[in-house]
Amino acid sequence: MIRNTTNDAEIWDAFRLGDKTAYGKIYELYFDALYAYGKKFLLDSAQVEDAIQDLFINLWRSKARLSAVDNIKYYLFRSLRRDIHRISEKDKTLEKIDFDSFLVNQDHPADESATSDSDLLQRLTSILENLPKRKLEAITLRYFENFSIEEIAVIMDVSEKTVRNTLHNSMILLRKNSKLLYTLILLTLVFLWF
Amino acid sequence: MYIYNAKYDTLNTLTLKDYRNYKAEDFLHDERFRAWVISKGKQETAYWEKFKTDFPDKAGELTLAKSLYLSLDHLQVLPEKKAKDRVWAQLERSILESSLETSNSRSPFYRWWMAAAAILIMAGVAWSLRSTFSGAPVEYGKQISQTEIPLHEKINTSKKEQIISLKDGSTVRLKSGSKLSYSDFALKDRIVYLDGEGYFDIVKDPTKPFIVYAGHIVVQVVGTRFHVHSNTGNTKSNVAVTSGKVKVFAADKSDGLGKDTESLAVYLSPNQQVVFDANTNKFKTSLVEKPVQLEGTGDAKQFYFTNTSVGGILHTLETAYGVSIRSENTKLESCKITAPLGDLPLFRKLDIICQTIGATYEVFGTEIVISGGDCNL
Repeated sequence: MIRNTTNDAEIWDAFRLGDKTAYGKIYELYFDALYAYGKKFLLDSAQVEDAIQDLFINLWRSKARLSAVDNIKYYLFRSLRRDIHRISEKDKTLEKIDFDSFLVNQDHPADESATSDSDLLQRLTSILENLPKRKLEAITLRYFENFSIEEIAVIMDVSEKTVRNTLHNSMILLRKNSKLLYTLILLTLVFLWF
Repeated sequence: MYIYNAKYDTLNTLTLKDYRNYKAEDFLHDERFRAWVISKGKQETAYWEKFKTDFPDKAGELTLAKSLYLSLDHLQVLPEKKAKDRVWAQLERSILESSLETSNSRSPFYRWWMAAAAILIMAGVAWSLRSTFSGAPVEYGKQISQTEIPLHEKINTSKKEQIISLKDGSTVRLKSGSKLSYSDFALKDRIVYLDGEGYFDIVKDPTKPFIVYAGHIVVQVVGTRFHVHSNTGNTKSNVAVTSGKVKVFAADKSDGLGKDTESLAVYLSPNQQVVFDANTNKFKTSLVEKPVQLEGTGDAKQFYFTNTSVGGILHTLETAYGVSIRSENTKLESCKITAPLGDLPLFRKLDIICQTIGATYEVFGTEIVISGGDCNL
């Protein structure tokens, strides 16, 4: 997705000056992505909604003291992450995702007994689902949301080196597990996909 | 296989970059590729069809990239449309409650926040005669004589502070030589008149705003603690907030009943203060000299930071003191430091943080801005 930084900056400035339409536009553009991201940490959808609601209320209330921004999604993700982290720390009864387990260098052995009807998509999905949460978060932020390494490091509050290592290891793992099906599926997918 | 280094591309010339070395990860960052995958093949179709024929050995990486994206997409839990609308409806309601904006465009000089706070209002020491033009009276004496509500007046003739208890349970610490006039709060607003200096501890009652007429200014709160200083004859008044939030506006713009007839007002949050100069009719907001930690934000233990990112530390301070802190150097955000700050005053804490990373901070109005700094000190 081609990120339009001038567009972001304009909408943000308009919102800062109190333009409710711009504010609504920001909400419209990023609510879904924020929800999906928050859902990775807070398993209760009502809590995710509350977190996003608080985020946006605070945004409106503090708009006069906010600085300029040229990447709104990055700002929102950072803020939501911090808020959720604080919520999780405070509320011990919340089902917590383990924030600290990160560079788990487990060796996920390739499942030799690949079912005949499993396609690459299903396979990847199941591998991703079973990864430690922080790894999946890093992969999603990088390859789905297309944030830079620096941005991910700030959002997740880790070093850039950690982010790079995690992504590198994850890709090796994904590649290893999908290699079995490569030759089988390759041509079929290429022709039949679209 | 040719490597093209053209600065432009059309549908006929394929490569801008060296696709020979592209892995799945690289495709996932390529804008054209993303456009193709995200649109489920509807956009950039011709481009990638040609690509597949020109670079058949990349088909595997291409497939992996696409599948990875689609898998991640599949794992995204998206909200229901009604959830999105529901949250928006709540937001609109909250914004409406907190905003008293008119449809006029606001001057960027004034800030808007929800009103309800502790204000410290102090009058400055500028003496001069000020002629009031048409509008509500701006002098204590005139104000209390013009109101129709029966008032009790308390004048502190002693040398010490006097505590006055109001009908709603609120208290006012009246400084020596000051005057306070108040009623039984039977009406829909709780209105008091102040001449001098007082520290207000107001009981929360959202149904009955608490309004202080302090000479040239009017301070409106819902429930909070604040200090007001405004002397008859002085043209400067001062309000400082300890907790909660207040709205401050010029008295001659009000209609005498606590409502301001023009939208020129200042909203203060805790640890903020404003000085109003009746000569220039201008408000100047700033931070109080010694910001205190807000209630309910935890104890001093949270300020013993070990190997914590600067961004995280600043955020903790922002929340604890209710102050906006911005750093111009984004690289600092992830820089980790160890700083046992404990219960030092806010500005001392900032001194230490800045010394550790070689940065400086400056207070612009009510915002603290940190500039410079280097992680590798």
